[in-house]
Amino acid sequence: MKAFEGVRILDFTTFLAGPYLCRLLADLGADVIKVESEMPEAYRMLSFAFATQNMNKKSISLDLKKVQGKTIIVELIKRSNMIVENSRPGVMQKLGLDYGSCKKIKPDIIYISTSGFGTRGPLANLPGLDPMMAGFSGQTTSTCGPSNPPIYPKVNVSDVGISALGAFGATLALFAYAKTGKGQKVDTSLLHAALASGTHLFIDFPGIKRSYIDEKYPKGKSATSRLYCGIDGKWFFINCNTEEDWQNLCKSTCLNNLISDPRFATPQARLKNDEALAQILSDSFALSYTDSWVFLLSSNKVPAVPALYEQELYNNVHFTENNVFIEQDHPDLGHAQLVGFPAEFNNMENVLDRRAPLLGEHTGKILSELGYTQEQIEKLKNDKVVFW
Amino acid sequence: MSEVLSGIKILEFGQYIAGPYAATLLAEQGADVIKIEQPGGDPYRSENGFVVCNRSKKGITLNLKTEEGLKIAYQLARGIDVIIENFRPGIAEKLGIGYEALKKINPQIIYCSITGFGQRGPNKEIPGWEPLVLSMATFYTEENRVGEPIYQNLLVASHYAAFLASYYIVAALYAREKSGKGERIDLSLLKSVVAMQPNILGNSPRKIRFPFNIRGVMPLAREYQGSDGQWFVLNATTVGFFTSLCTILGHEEWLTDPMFDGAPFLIFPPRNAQVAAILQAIFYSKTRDEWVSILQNTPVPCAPVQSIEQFLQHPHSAANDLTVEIFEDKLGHVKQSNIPVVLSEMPGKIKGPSPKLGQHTQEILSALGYSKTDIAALKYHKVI
Repeated sequence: MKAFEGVRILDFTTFLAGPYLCRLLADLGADVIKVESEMPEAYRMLSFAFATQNMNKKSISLDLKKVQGKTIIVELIKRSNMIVENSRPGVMQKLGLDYGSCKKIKPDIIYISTSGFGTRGPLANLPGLDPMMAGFSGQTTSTCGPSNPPIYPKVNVSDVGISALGAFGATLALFAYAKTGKGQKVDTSLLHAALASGTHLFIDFPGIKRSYIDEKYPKGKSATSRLYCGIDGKWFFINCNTEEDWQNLCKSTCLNNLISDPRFATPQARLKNDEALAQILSDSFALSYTDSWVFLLSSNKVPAVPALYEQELYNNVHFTENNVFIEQDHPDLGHAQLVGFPAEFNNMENVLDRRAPLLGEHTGKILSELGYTQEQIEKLKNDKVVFW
Repeated sequence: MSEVLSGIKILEFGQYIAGPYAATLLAEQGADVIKIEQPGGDPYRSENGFVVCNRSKKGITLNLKTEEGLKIAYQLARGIDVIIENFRPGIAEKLGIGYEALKKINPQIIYCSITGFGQRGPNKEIPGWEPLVLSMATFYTEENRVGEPIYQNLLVASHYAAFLASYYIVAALYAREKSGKGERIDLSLLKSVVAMQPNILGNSPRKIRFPFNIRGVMPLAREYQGSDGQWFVLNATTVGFFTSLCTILGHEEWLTDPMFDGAPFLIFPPRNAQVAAILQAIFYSKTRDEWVSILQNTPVPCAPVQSIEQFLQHPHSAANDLTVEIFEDKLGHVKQSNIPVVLSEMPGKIKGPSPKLGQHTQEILSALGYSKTDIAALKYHKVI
């Protein structure tokens, strides 16, 4: 079954957070129309990202600053359950599409608004882009501390945080609507997503001790929870958490003598002599191939996995068996593997209805569903109100 | 008005972050959550982060390996809407609280499992420690960073799994209203961190790959250093922002300079490093704060790189109610993340600090009809 069958969403979002939020909802069967102007949204330049974040949606392209364009949007709002927007504060007001205005058009509308730097405070008007938040929130200094150079995380943690938290909020509002018949506004921001993505970091109390790794290019927290390199230059991560893990590590690396070595006999001793232990293990691991180490360690129940590179993922058996990627044909990308569905269900369906739309691909169809005749549609196109 | 999930009851068999935090996200939108811990408790209790991931719920200790303990778990499961567990694959089944077992007791149950590496595949038995999951999911490695992987103390997969779990659980509750059917939701930390990279992962012969760098992905969206050694993030990722940047820096010629072809996103190697070097040379001419104040008065997005403390104490954070202070017996007043999603008509509510180990055992058992004597006997037999 499609959980969100019949739920109609107007997606005014751009870039990453908002579009992916709407895709998560579309995955469960929501009918999402992406609203764009004549200019394609900036992320269309990044065709892979765009294709992934906008699959299962339709696209309408129109000029919202023209009266007829506005009329079309008002008609679309009237038949929608939800609006999602992630523009800077003030932009939707200017278009007459802020929550208050939309509520006048459709009193029970659910309105999802995701901002960058929140809705209040001295920085509320800054454009909300994830890299800024990575720096601003302390994410980039959280590993090595503020006295070392910041490390930019590969993943846009706060942006995609908004996507999932926003989908959560949207669904809460739908659930409430099913009971009360009333719509409401749902707010979240990059700030909120940054904090919620690192509850272990963003915490403060008198006497708190923060531990930082005082290195420029850290490899791990300790010698037994760390990245190591094999003779082939490939890396792997071992993570020993128990005494048993530690002893298994020593045995599988033929370093049994370490178990009784007073420098490493207890967790406290190992911590004290961490550098020495890391050196011994590094030297040892440098003697053979990473895949052999990972196999040997895993067979001896030492938690260890290779540190994979992006291009290694697509043929990796573990990824394939877990259906991590889906396959799709796309006019710009050819036959592509894209980030698939995050969860599996017994009853609910992960929907794969359509690839990401071309700009305005469904404009004509949506207009005729609204009752416009072919002639009127042609005229709107000639008047540059709608585009495809 | 009450909260959206008022009246929804959740049993959480969680440890560490993903399961417990999902339960807290739902608890603070109104659900009643009981956290069931084994004797000894959630191992995450030894970390400060425990208090955030376990707010707003009640706690009971239960030895599920005893017949009586399991019986109590079944009694609790009878009137429940949602189960959340994040054991390794197969453990919940072994304990007798797997989906099939609990579905028999409660056919409409929504049962959410969060594993480390998924229920299938050669790595499914590997414990789902965050750094292992992140290693597999390319978080630490990228070819053009510094040639070596870089570890980061981020637990993003666990947190993202919690977000996704709370989303899919409410979706299943919504679907159940219409269909009357329960649900089994299967999530993993591995898939969660893949789901965090819709803009990065994906493959086809036509894919153009962006070189990662320890300072950022693109020369117009990365960290730069001021003359005082302090860092800031430049984020000029639209044509408009880039145009403004050129004007402010007095380099309008960049707009037509082939060096900047493809701006803002598509400046490819080797030009990406060259452009970054050009910009860094300019940014070395003033202090970080000077650049931030110059750029923040223009449309060009930028922000200072801060420490966690600076962020938490920033007046802007306070203005947005980002954090709350909650008193915890052990730690005192703990400043921590507030509810991250706010509904205008039915905002959530933090119901209290994290439960002490077994704090509500008596209360919960009494509600099930156990007498004081029964409870004493259960305690004596180490069931609770």
